[in-house]
Amino acid sequence: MDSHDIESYFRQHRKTLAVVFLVVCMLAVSGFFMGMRQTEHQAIRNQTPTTDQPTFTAAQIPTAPKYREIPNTEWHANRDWKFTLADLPRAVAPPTGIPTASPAENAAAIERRKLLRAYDGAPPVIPHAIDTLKSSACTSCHGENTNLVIGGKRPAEISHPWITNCTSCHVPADGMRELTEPQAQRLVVENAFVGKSSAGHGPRAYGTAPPTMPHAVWMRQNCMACHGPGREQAIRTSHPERRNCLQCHAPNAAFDNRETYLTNLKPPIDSPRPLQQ
Amino acid sequence: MNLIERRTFLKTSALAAASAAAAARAQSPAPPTAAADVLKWDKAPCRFCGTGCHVKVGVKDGKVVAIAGHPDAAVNKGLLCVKGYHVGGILYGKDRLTDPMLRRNGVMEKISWEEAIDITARRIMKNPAGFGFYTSGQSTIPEGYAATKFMKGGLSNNHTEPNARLCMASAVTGYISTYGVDEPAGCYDDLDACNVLLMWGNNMAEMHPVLFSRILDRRERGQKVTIIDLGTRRTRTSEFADHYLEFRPQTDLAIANCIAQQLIESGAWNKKFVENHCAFRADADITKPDLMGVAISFDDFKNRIAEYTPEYVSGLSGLSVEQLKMLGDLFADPNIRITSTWCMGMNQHTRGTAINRLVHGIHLLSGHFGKPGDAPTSLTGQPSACGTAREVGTLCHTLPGGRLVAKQPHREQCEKHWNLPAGRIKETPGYHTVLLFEKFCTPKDKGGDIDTIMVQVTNPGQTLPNLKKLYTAKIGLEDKFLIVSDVYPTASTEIADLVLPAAMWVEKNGAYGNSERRTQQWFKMVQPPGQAREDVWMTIAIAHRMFELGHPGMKDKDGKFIFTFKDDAGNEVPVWDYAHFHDINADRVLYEEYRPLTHIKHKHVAPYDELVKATGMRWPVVEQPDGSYKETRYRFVEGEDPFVAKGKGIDFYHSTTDDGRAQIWFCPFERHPEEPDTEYPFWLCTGRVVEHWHSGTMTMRVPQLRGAMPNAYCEINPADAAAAGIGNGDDIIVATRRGEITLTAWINGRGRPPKGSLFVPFFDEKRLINNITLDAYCPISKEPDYKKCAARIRKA
Amino acid sequence: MPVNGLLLTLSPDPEIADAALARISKRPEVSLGDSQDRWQPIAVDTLDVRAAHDFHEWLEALPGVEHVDVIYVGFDETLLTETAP
Repeated sequence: MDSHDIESYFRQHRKTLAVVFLVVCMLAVSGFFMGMRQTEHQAIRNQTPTTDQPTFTAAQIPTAPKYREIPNTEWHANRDWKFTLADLPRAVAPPTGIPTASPAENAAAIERRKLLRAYDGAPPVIPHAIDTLKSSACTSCHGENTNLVIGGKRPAEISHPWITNCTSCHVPADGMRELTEPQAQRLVVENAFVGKSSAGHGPRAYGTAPPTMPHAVWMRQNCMACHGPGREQAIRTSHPERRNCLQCHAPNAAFDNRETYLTNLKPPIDSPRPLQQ
Repeated sequence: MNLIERRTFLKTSALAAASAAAAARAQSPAPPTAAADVLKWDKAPCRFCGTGCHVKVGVKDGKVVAIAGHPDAAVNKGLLCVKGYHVGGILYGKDRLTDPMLRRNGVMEKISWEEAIDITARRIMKNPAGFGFYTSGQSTIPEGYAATKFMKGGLSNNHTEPNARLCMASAVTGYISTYGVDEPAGCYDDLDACNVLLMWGNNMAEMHPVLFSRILDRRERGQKVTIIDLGTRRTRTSEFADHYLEFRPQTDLAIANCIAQQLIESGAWNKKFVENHCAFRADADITKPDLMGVAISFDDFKNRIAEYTPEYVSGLSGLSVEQLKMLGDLFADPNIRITSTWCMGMNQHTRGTAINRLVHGIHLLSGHFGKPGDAPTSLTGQPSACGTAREVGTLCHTLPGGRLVAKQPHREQCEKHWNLPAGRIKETPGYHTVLLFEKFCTPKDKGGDIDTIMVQVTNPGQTLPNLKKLYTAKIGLEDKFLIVSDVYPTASTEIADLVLPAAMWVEKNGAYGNSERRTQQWFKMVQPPGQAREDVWMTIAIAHRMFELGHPGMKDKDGKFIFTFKDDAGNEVPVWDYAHFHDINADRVLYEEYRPLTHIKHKHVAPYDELVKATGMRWPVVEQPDGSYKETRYRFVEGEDPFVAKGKGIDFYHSTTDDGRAQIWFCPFERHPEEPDTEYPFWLCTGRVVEHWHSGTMTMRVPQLRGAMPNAYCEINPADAAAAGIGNGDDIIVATRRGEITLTAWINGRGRPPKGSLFVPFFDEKRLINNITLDAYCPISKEPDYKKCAARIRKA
Repeated sequence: MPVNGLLLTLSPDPEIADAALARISKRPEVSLGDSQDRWQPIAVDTLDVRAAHDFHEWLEALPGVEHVDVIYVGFDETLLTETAP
């Protein structure tokens, strides 16, 4: 549907379908451009991720109005609007070599990561609005090798691409924003759950030995999703050209949380995809 | 240097080198793996739905701090859904109930446990026949067993019901009237083997996402599997489906009949299978349907089914003739494997038993049964709807192990097992859930003969239909006393007279049984907060207090208390005294007492000690010559089911007709009692969302889940919204003949109802949709229909 | 007759570590050194290389032993030639 069609469609059904059209627009666009929106939710108020580029100004971050506010809101055209994904900028792989982030930057990166997870190992919540119906919308930006840059940020790449029902595990941190009632009309209870924190660096046998993995491999079989070029400096690999990660970096049994009892069951079916070759 | 010296020298050198390394290691900064090392991990089934995923629970300093999918669990293979990953958070909501509280002059006051147990015991003593015990499909197996023994064996009172009545009662009656025994013949392995997955009104992508992933993963691995979503509203499941077949509510009955009609018409029905293993059956009088019906001939069946041609059913259902023929052709193809799944869409149905029978019927008629991937399997919504409500028998008409209170030999067997005098167990079934609460909410002088209800592990104040009639009508009634044991304040505790704080999930020992006959066990891992205690303890403490007060039913034949707990040395342990409750594993004692009762219907559940070692085992679990225990994947199938004799192939050995045959039922399409009309022109459907589990008591206290789905809404078709001048996010009023509530309109959201349909989730206690749902129920299963009633909307 | 110096990393749970250590100390091949934190140095004297391997594997499989690092390897050549073919 090109813009002429849209306009004529609107002229015919302006009153009845304006809202519907905006909804469609919102859902499609918001996934791309609303990543940095502030959350209003009390319990997760502080979990909005900051961007890699703190120089962003409000004008550069499109903030969508609530639906009910639309009639009274000045509707700015999205400055970075692109009609197709192909028009969005691609991430340029940074030079390889030892990452140079300072300890403070590393700590900040880990802190950012923590804000989206109930505990280390929990599926991260989604820091933006989503298409509530289809998972294909997720993979258009978060799929393997999409390599997009949206609002100055690289969308996280899926680390377990064989699992396709994204919203069964990942939910928006601040979902349903347009439908959220004031807190007084909702059940809001504080929670004292404190999650396990990240284990930090993987231990090395000696100074220059390859570190072992400080986390389980399960659901993280695509190492490059987090450690590949363009990812957080704190955990980015200095040698992305070597793709057989497990050749040198050993999994750590301490993170497979194995019990000592034996089960009578066979191990589960092998993970459906081979590890990164 | 001689040999000894050399060896000593070598040893000294070796030790010195190793010691130096140890010193170096110890002085270096603590390895960062420390965080992982100090966690203690143990296994437990997930607290939520009937899928029965196994989780690993990471505990540190007495608190749950992490959850992982159990990689060895055959059900979920290391995967969980968003609720499962956040299940640890449900323990730590800030408003946990921590003290027993009694309503005095309208105000809740803290009291001691001794007082609370005493008040309860005396209240029951006052009128034992007017007491109802309302438990749950979330009750553990020992909790359900203790409750049913206390009520039916102790009080001679059959007014015990689980909330599972609202959830899978129609599946039970469907199984029993088809196979003569409750529980599915197939299992989740079917999902790994089927060529076609047919979901009957079942939004698996949201409600059983881990099972749905088993199918989606296969597709991702390049296997061909056709997913068919037979639904009344477009959902996330539809988006993954190859075919989305949208039918008008209630016409699933006609669609199933249409598949049977096509099989007969084309001659593609499996004559050999039907001749050897099946018989035909129908209700004697369709206006008074019952569980067993009467036998009919094949010709009779053929004549009755004949009218359900694709053309006729197309007009009824809204499916096209081509779509109906596609379904007929699939079942006619003997070379594919078809798995049917369903959950509340078929069960919460005013003809719930009928549609369950029909779906079993088309699988039997076509022979799509008894091979891996060829099975009709109902999914359950609660973690132990099967294990506790059904297998233990906490329904008002059942006794443990698939027995019925109406059957003399069944009562005798239980009386003998429990060492009770003959005739202790009453033969008339108690009140089913809707009736139980109706009687409780009716004044005594108008026939409301239930005056005390104790609720455990469930939230009827939110989940009963037509709440104003069945729950809140209690307010102000004289001499009605409501006791609620729960973990958080809920719509149920709000009007309770006595509130008991309960321990939950890994704060207690437990055992569940999931949808595929899998029994699962876990141990207590953390302490419950404050004075919260185990539900099973409450039941035993109340029973013992009544024993002390002289209630004759609390004594067995020999005058001893009906519950006995002995330690390994054979000494009795007074577990009713909470100081001694943890001296032994009371769960294990109750479970092992219950286990022999499961044998009569060949539901041999696994020994407790075997379950400890496993991530669940599917019954029948039978001891092998080498002393090991083997679980069963497919019932009634030779080579799989240990109770099917060699050479039989398939044997329905609990057949209602005692001849090894399953019943293929004819049930006609019947209209819904409250179809939309000019006054109330919309179908109103209710249900769940992936983030919240049932009434949201637990999940609404987890920030990640509440953040994703903070309040209920009303899904509405864009055309209907436009016609009513409703915009997305507008407040609208949804009204039925029972009342109205205000909700936010959601247009083109995660579910897309067709024109003339609404959908509202029921998790939100601030927006109780069940205030306005219909309390009409299936005449056989007594399960209400939450999925259909007539409604109207207007802008607020 | 190899003599090896090994460094064991024991479980941080003292109960499990002590149980492991109790079992190790019962083995005649072993001389225990002074432990540092959760690191236990030991010297192992076995009859031949295969027995040394077997013992190493036994250690690794022992609940409570998380890692076995080989720090020192010594051979008695005379005996090696006599016992090993």
